[in-house]
Amino acid sequence: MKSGNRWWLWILTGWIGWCTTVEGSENSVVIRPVAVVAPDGSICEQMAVVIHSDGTIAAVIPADQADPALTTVHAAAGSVLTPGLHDLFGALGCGQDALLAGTVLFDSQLDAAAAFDPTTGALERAARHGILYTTVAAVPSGIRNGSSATFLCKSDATAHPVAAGRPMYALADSVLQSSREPTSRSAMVSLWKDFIVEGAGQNRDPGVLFCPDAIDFRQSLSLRWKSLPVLVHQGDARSPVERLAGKGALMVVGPFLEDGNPAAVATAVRAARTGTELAFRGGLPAAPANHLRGSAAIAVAAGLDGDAARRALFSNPARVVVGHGIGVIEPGARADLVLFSADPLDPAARVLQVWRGGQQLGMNTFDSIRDLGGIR
Amino acid sequence: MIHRGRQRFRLAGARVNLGSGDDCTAGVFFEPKDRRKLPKMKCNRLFSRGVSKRSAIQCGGSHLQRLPRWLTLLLVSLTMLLVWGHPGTVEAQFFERALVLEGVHIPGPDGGVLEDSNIILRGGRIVELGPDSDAPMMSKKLKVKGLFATAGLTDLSSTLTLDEVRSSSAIHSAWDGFDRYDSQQILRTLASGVTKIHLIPMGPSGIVGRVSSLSLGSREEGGYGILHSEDVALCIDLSSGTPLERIRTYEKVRGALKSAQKMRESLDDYTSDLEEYIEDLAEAAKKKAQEKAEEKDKEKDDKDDKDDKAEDGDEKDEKDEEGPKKPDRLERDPAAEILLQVLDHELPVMITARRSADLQNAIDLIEEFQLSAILRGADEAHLVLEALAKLEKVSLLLEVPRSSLTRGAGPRRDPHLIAQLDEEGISWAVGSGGESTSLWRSIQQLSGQLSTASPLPLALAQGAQGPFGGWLRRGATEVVLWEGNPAEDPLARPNRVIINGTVVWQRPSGTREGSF
Repeated sequence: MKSGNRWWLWILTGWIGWCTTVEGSENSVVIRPVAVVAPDGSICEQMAVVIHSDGTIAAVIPADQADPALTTVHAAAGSVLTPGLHDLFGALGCGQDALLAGTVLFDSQLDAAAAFDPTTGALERAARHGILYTTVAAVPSGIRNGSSATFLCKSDATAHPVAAGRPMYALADSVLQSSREPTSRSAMVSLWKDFIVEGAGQNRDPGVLFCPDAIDFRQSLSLRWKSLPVLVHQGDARSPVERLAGKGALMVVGPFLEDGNPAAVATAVRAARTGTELAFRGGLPAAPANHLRGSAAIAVAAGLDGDAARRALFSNPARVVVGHGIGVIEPGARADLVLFSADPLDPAARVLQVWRGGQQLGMNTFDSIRDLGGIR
Repeated sequence: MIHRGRQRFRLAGARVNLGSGDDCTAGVFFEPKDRRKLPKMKCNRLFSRGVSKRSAIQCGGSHLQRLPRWLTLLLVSLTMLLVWGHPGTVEAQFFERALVLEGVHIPGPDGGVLEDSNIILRGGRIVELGPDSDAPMMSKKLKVKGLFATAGLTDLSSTLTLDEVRSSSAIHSAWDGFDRYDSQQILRTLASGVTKIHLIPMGPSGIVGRVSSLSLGSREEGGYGILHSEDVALCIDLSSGTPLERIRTYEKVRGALKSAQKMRESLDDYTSDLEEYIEDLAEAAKKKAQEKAEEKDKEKDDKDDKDDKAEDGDEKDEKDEEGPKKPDRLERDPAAEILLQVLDHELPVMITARRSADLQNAIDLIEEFQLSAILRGADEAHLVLEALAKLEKVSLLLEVPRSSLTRGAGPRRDPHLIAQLDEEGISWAVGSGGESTSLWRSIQQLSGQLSTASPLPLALAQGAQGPFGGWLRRGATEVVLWEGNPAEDPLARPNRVIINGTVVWQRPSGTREGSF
């Protein structure tokens, strides 16, 4: 079935659900008329999104079918409603040093959630820029580096996890240490082969594999994977990336910088052409707040399809961390929504409104010089 | 070549030997009666210039009248003058095949689009454009139907290919450091629609060098980059280093400008001394001549007192030999001479200042030396807006503002800076500040701040002057063909870039995109 047909079927289902369950609910809020980013990355015009009082999306329906009696948020002309942006494997909500792993080669006990500080103000600032999820992971110094952790960007006394942790692996120079095995690349690859073919890695969640350089990427692909892990790559693997064709791979790329390495962008574009789904890293909080969208705009300028770029911003990061109800606008999903003034791939687009769990955030924090002075 | 198999045919613009030793360029309709013997052909119509009467009669063209000799001579002279005076232009206009971009859409300044238009280029320049422009015969056609054509973008703040090049003197020009053979970087820039750049020299803080402007067209001798000017502005960096270093830099630059001022005073003194010296010299020469004449007159009269006068003459000669003293010429200082150009407003100065303190230093320099200045960066301009508004000859060259989540990560930026600058009447422009690949995205981002409908007018206004700004028009040499309408589609990408009639960059086909 074509993605467009699926989208309409999905709207129809949502509409039927809306008619049967939500009709008349007084606490619901409807945002309309608005263009909505669908899970396949396309933009559907003239839609209405109904937010239930429990903080979930009740329905996504054509704008003219929404109940006028509901509390309505009128979206500005040309605005686009998207799921929340997702910063993958950055340090948003953690100090850089907090994510350092130990010296254990296969460390399955390490939990990145332990390094997460929900009280940090950067989470709230990120939310106001539309970044509503953060996934943190330990620095890849072993073959297995514990599990990732994904949280809602909300400065609070307690953390709000939105996805279970995924096992984090690495095949990279960062694994090699003089104080323990392996000390050479060949030894590392050998350990990996043993781990996959005979060891505990055979029947488990393939997880997420850090293979930042081209050689790491090539050697990763040469292993006999039963099911391919999510590949995290940020180098120039234009040649081996062709081998991903037809494998339904998922790849985390970036962050891409203006005047940065064009080969890394070209690798991502070529990977997308082989059918590989992409997800962007943002490199927050060190990178600028709009860096995720900046990476997407750079990739689009280099030849990436617009729909693929939107999937890489919204739905695919949720697939990377196996998050349910995040990264998509569909009935039953979390009402973590961002209203942009235009297509989020447009560098001119601004964040107009943010809903976190159905709650609208105040957006006037950075609008005055006095406030800006306070940030420094 | 004449084809004998046809009953009637025309030779247009052919070189025809008329059988009498004369030949001419002519258009001839022939009706051959005897296919084997050309001279017996009946020439029923002949239009020519410079054909001798005899030849025309032989050909049956007795009805033709010979041109007056004076008119022939005038025409020949004019042609020769044109060909020798502007050989390239004439050759391009008359002998080069035209390049036609067929079926393109041309966005206009009024927001409309000229659909299905042709753009005709001759000698690298647009000679005609619009829906009514017909492709000339024998023209070279480019299959670009459906693409959107605009003029090339200009990056007013680029460091393209200057990665490792550092300069630290007013005599250094950014053009000297431009690597015209770095095709990878240059092609990436062209792929973003930028065809002209102002190259900013890079180096340690202080006086860095001169800004050059160039087009990124390909060169006949290889590589890219056609220099327009090496003296766009003098670049001064007040924003690098620690706060203490920045203060020292300011003092250093001020000292250099002061010494340039002193040098001018010394130059003025030297000039007036030299004038005085020349006057003295002339007077001395006149005096000497008078004295010599007097001496000759008196020589005969004073033969008796010969010995005494000889003694006096020796004394006078000694005095004359001393003469007026020539002033010492100042040693040449090319760097100071460039600073003098800055002080005389012959060369503007581009001051890089991002934080408010640096901007204040820049403002002090501008006020003290009455400089024509461009403030590059100016992120915290909103904090010194009043002081900026008081300056007369100042404009801002903004670079991409990026908001950070980290405290104290960089200069403070105000999202409403542009609106405030417009309110104060301070002129501003946008530059990439890097390799120019980000210029279009930067402009798109800033147009979002302005809430303008389209970033294209803002992009084309960069570095362009006149009522039409940088819109595509006759005489333009740079054309960018976009896959979508850049005025409306934020995801529009360039597909081809044409400079001086040559396709300098073309988007590779889908499968080859991002290839080595």
